[in-house]
Amino acid sequence: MTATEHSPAASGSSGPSELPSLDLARVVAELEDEVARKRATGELPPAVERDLDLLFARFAPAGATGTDFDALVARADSSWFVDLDVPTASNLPGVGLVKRVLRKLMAWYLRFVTQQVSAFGHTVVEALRTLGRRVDRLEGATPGASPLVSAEDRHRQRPSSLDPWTDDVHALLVNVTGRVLHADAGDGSFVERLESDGLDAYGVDGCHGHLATARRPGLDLRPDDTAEHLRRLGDGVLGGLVLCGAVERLPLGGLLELVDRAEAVLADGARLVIVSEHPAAVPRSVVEADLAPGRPLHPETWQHLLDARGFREVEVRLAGLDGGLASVPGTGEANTILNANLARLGSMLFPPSSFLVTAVRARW
Amino acid sequence: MVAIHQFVPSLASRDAIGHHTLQVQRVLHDMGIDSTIYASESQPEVRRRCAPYRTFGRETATMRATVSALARSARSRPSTWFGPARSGGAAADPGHTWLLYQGSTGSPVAGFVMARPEPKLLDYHNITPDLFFAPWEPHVAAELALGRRQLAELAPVTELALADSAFNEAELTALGFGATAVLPIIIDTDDFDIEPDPATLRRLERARDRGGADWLFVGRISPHKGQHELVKALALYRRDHDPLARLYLVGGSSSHSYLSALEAFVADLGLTSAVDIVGSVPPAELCAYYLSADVLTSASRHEGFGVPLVEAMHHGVPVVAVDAAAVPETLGRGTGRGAAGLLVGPEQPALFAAAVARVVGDAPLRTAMVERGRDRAADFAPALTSALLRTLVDDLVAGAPG
Repeated sequence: MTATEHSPAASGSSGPSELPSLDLARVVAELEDEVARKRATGELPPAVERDLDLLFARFAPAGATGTDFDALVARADSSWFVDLDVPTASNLPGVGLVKRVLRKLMAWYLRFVTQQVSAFGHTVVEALRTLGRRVDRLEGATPGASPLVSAEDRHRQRPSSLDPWTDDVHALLVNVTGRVLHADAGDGSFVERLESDGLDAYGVDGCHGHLATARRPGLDLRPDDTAEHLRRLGDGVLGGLVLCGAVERLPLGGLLELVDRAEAVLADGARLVIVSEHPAAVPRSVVEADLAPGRPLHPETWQHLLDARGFREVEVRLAGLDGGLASVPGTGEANTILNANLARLGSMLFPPSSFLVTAVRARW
Repeated sequence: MVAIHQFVPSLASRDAIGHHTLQVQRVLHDMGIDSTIYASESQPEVRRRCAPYRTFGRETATMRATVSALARSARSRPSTWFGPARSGGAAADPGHTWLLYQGSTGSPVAGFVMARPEPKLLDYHNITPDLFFAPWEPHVAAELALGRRQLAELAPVTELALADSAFNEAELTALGFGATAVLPIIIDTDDFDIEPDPATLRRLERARDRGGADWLFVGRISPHKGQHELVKALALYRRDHDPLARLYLVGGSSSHSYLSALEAFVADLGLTSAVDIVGSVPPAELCAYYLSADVLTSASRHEGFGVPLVEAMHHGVPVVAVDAAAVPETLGRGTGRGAAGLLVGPEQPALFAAAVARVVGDAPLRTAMVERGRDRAADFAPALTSALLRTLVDDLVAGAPG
C-alpha cells in the first residue's frame, strides 16, 4: 500500500488544479491569496491564530515565544503566586493517600515559605509594571525612542519651508565663511541658491521622499535625520546653520539637545538661523501638528535658550503681523490703555504665523 | 596504509548522524581504507561498533588481536572496535592517517581531535543555534554554543570540510573553512523498504477507517522543530477543512520541558485524541507510519539536511514544510526541477493548514508532487552518495604528501 492509494480526505477549500506543469510556488501564492481572502471576509478571524499563540505561550518558558515586555510582565503576573496545593493523585494504590498526608504534615512549613515567595513575586511584578509605565513616559518624551511616535512621524506630509523668510535667511548667510548646513532641506532649493552665491552649502533631510524631488542632480543633499547628523559633526565645523522643520516637531528633550549641538558645531562667529511656525498660529496641517512628537517653541523661548548659551546678536523677527487691530488715534491716558488692550487682543486673534530667530555663535 | 578514523560525540543506529557515520565507515572499508569509529557515547545496539574516543592511539596488541577476531566474525559489516584492516600502531602515520570529526554539537571529542597531530577532516551536520534551546533547556543551549565555538576553532586546522548541504557549506565558508564540499548524508534506502510492522499498520488503518487525514511528522521533539506550530495548524485544519484529521509525531524527545509544554498545549486544545506523540519507534513501525500517512508535515525552523523528508519522498508521501534552513534544498529547490514539497512561511498556521488541505484534496497536484518527490529522493541513492564520498577520498589521498 502506498500513500497515493488512499482515498484522500475531502478538502473544504480547494478544488482540483489543472497542472500542465508543477508550479508549487504558484500554488503557494494561490493559498496565500485564499488565506488573505478568508481574513478579509472574517472567515478566519485574527483572534483565532492569536489565541493559539497565546495559549501555547502559557505553557512555554519566558522568552520562548517572544520578548514583548507586556507579554513577559503578564506572564510574570500569572505565575507569581506559589501554589501550596500540590497534586496528590497517583495510579499506585495508597500512594495518593501518602501524598495527601505528607501535604498536610508539611503545609504549616511550606505555607510560611510560599507566602514570602509569593509576596516577593507580587512586589517584583508591581515594580516591573511601574517601571514599564515610567519607561513608556520616557520613550514618549525622547526623540526616536518610542516606535509609536516615530511611526506617526510619517504624517509629515510637506517638506520644511523657509517661506516667507527665504530672502531674510539668504541675506543673513550670504557673507558667512565656512560650510553652511541647511537642516531639513526639502528639495534643496535653498541649498542651490546658496551654492549659486558661491557658498559651500549642503543639506540634510530625514525624509527620503523630499530629497527625491531635489531640484537638480549634484546638489549635496544627504538623507539624514537632523539631530543624528548634528551628533556626528565635529565641534566648530560649520560657518552657518539653518534649522527649520525639526524645530517644529521635536519633543522638548530633543529640542534642547538640538540647540546644544548647534552651539557645539558652529565655529566662533558663525551664524545660526532658526525658522519656525509660531505655536499660536493655526498649523498648516492639523494631522501633522497633532501627531508630531513635539510642538514649536515660542520665539521668546528660543531667545532665552540662545542667550543662556552665550550666543550674541540674538534677534527675533515675526511674520504675519499686518492683520492686527488698528490703534485708536490720540495720546490720552484712556487711549493708551485702550490701545494696549487692543494690541493684546490683536496678538491673540492674529498671532504671527511664523518667526525667524538668528544669532551669532560666540566662543567664551 | 591509509586510514581515516571517525570521531563522533554520540553513536546511535536510529540517529541520522550515527547511521551516516556507519555508512561512511562501510564505504571506506570497501575502498580498503582503515577506519574505526571513536565515540564519547554509544547506544547498546552499536556499542561493539565503536571504541571510546580516548583510546585512540593507545590500543594494545591484545586489544587489536581481540578486535581482529571480532572483525573476522562480522564479515557483512566489518565494524568492530578497530576495524578489520587496521595494522598501524598507537602513533598513526600523520601522512596517511586522517581524523574525521562528525560535528553536530559541542563535545570534548572535538577538543581531543584538535589536540591530535594527525590532519583533520570535518563532516558538518549543522549545529542548532542555541537560541532555540536557551529558554527550554539552558544546558543544551550551552552545549550547542560550545559546538559553534569548537567549529570555529576547527576551521584553521581542517584540511577538508564536508557538509550535508549547501546550506551547511555556506556556514562553514563563513567561518573561514578553506576546502569544503557537499556530501549529503548517506542514506541506505534499503532500510526504508523493509516490511512494515503489521500491528502498527492495522492500528493506523483502524484510525483511518474512522475518517480524516493523517498528518505525519518524523523527528525529535525539540523546540527548533516546532511541533507546536504543527499542532496549531492541525487545530485550524480541523476547524476549517477536516474535523477528523490526526497528527502523528514520531521521534524521541530532545527537551523534556518542550515535550511537557507540547502535551499541555495539545490537552488544552482538546486534541489529545487527534495528536499522537508516538515517541521513538523501530524501523518497521516507522515504515508503517510512512505508508499510512497522507502528508508529511514539518514546521522545523532549522535543519542542516532532513532525512525524514527524503524518507517521505521515497515512500511517495507528499511534503508540506516551512521554508527554512536546508529544508527547501533537501526537497530539491535549486536542482532545476524545483522543490518537491509545498513550502510556506514560518508561523503561519492558517496557511500551513490550507497547504495541507490542497495537497490532500487535489489529486493531480498530489500525484505530481509524489512523482517529483520520488525523483528527488533518487538523488540521495546510496550508490550516488557513496560514489561522491569515494571521489572526495580519492582526491584527498592523491593530494596527500608522500
